Amino acid sequence: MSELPMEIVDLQVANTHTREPIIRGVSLALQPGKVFALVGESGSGKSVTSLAAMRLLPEGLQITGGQVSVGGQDLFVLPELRMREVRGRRVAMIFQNAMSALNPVQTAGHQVAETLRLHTGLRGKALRQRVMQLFAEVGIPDPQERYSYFPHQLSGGQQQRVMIAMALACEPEVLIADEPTTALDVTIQAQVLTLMRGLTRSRQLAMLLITHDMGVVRHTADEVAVMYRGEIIERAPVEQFFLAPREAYSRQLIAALPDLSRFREAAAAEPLLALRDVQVHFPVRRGVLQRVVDHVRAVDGVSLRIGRGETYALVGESGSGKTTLGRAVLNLDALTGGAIEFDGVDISRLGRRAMLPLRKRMQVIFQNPHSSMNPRMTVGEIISEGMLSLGLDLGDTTLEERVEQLLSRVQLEADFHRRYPHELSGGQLQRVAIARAIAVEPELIICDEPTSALDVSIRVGVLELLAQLQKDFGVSYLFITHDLSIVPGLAHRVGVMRNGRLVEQGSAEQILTRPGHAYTQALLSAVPRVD
Amino acid sequence: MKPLILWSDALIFLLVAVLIVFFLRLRRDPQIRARWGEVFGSRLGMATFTIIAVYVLVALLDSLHFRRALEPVEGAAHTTSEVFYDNRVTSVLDLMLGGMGQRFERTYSAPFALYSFEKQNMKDAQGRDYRDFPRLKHAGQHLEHTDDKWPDILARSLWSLLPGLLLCIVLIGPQWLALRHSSLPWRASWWVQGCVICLWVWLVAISRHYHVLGTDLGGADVAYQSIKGIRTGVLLGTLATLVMLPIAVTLGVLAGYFKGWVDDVVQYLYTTLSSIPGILLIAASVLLFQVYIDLNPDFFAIGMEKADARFLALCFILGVTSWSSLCRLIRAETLKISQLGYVQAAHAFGVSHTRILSRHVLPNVVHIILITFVLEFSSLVLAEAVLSYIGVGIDPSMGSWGNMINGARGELSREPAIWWTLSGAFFFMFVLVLAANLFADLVRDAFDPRSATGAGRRA
Repeated sequence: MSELPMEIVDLQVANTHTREPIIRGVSLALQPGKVFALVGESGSGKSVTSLAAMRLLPEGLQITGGQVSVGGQDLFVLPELRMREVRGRRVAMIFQNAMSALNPVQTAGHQVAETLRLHTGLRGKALRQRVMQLFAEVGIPDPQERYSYFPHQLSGGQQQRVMIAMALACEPEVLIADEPTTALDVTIQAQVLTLMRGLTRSRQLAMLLITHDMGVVRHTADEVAVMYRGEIIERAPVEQFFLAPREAYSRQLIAALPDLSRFREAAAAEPLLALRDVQVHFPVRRGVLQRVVDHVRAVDGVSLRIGRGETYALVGESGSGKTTLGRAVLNLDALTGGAIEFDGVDISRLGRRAMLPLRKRMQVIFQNPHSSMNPRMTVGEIISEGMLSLGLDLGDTTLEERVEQLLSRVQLEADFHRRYPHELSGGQLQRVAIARAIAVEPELIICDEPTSALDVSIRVGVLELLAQLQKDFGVSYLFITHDLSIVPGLAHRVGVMRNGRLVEQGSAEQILTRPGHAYTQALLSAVPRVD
Repeated sequence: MKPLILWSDALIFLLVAVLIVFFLRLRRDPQIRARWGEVFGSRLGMATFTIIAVYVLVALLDSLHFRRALEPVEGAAHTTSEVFYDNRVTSVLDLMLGGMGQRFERTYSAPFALYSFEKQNMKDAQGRDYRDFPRLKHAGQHLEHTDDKWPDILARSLWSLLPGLLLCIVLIGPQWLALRHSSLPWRASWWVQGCVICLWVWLVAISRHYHVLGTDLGGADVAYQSIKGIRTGVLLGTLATLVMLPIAVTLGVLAGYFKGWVDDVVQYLYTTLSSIPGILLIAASVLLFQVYIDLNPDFFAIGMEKADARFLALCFILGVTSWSSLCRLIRAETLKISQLGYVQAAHAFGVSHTRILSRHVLPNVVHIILITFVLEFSSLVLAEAVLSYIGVGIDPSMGSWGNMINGARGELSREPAIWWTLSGAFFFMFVLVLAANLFADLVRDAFDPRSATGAGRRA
């Protein structure tokens, strides 16, 4: 057996009940000081591979064959007690969601110290000293003070850094990082990736990076393996992989990366929606009497215009107020100040009833297609709900015919209307959501991160569909996203939002090639690109 | 014979009908049908459901009440053609038990005993007073020697197996013919049915000559009392839950959906309610109602109606005081659901509040309602026992497990202890509550989206 930090040979995992294979013979080897990226879409088995290697499979799955060794030691023959030593000490793991992996009632420093106490002989002052060192190494500012912070007092990036510090605490040989940056904003994602890359080099770590994001791979990895349906279909050094991918599927994954050179011309169209100094504040109530002590200024003075047939991309990180702005346009959240004019009518003061005729002209598509469909209704009922509720004039087609037309419009088969949401995949569901929105023939659709819950290869299809619909019906989009990389092929104009304010807006070309504001520049530089 | 419909009789039939319609409607939803399939696909689910069904059937049979016509009393004016009816109310179940309830002794007697449990003053053939254990009137009178008792019981048990098995064939045979190719484990249900039928036939046959579970203080047959307790238990469980459900669901959904002042009011209500000790509140309400019954005797023709009114009041009070926990659950779930995309999308389509509530919110809290219904059922059956224990439960004239357990307080402290009344009540209650709890577990596993085995879980 080799002395590689970690080697997986012909690993096989199957469903315990159905005997259906999940992983069909995966082999890979990690080298010290190198990052090995395992890429694939959700359900391809990349996380299961890492869990199986650590013997941490969830109930219902079992290892049916293969070998995993760490430094020449076969892991599958170890008793559970010895295995526990391997986990954490020789192989450390970092997960996607740092907030849920950290104990909320213990301070950050204490949790790292706990790991050290378990695996090393360090005690007292020396222990604290070591934690400080680690914090400094992973780039947590002011370690002295952050030591006694609770997880909720740290930002998302800092939480992930604490997780990394914890993983590094026992000087492991192998680091398994499962989507370590997916939950982070782009600017922070870039920092964490750089940090992990640096640590791999400086400590001669062998890292297994699991991700679905080709940009992350490009930025970090030395070697890439593409997983598809439980198998590795292509493996290559990263340079070679991006230059000459062998498999069609790999090419598709790479092609899904943004092309930052093609832009849509800003169209000078007649205005449809105009926001003037829109403010949405949420009161913060405290005490027994629930007195208003302060306001959260979710949206604080935003002005913008969207023309007919135009796509306006509203870009910002989480918490910037972009979703609240979308809700305000739909009149789902009340305005604190300013005005929203839709086709010359001020809608911000309209009541529920007065708003009804306008509902038909304004629709919305949400981020998570699973939660935006009632699981108890069929696709047909979901699509027709809006038409029925708004009393749409169907002409001489029946409701069912209309639903089938819409389904074919979004490239789904007609017999989908009898299915339930749980029978559909994420991409199919998002198409149903689009069908539901265009059913009432709106003039404006607010797309709230419609593609960020989708896999890259499906994302492209949905974006193309949206563009096609715009061409056919001349519908306008207010496209809310955190991902600058999808903007070029999509938007005519872009607004960058931060802390409830628009820091910059202009044509897509202008923003992406000549950003004026420092924040826009930071966002742009954090976009992983292939070039 | 004159049929008599008590309020609770009407209600129990209405309830069963409503429940059947409700489940038939639920069946139309393929998702829900798949989950019920999961529940009934297990042998345990099938067996426990059969047990529950047997209890419900007994309760239904016991709810078909009538009053027997009395023989014209000699010497009464023959001119009036008026027929007088017995003040005691009989049910179809009593008929099926073969007059088990009519064989009274003087007082306590142990199971299968031939002699009374307590000594009594008697006169012998010469007319001298003496004190001894008297023979029971309805136990072992056919025996020539008291030593023949056990062989006689054994012989009769074996003989009763024959009609029992025959009845099994008649009742289960058609089911087997119709359902033998079904994918569901009907076999488990048939075993339970067979056992219940054989036990029933045995009980009816033996109780003609012996008191299987002895007699209680008033000399009544304990086995009969325990079986009569089934109707009370089942009805109390379902009725109180059904009183509670609409209150909890309506308030919970409204509070979670509209938030603001509606939420404040509902929260205020249930925090206030749950800060009053439940037993005290129930006891006070029952006593109040008892005063009302006592002050208006002319509303009730016979004692049974009075007892029935008190029973219904108890169900109502139990329901009204126990909705807060379910309300809290539903409010929380509704808060969550009303933030989900599909409710937001419905708002964007201008769908009305009532339609959103009925189409989007309610169907998605049904699993909580179902789980609570089955769990709450067993806790209410137990609550009845507690309430009877402190003396505010069911009217003593109505058979109830709570009253039997309450009586056992004094009986157990005697020497030798009288254990059979408690055991009788305990056995029947235990089987029902255990079956209901096991069934509830299965229902929860199948319907709760958070449970790992739930069909609705998405990775």
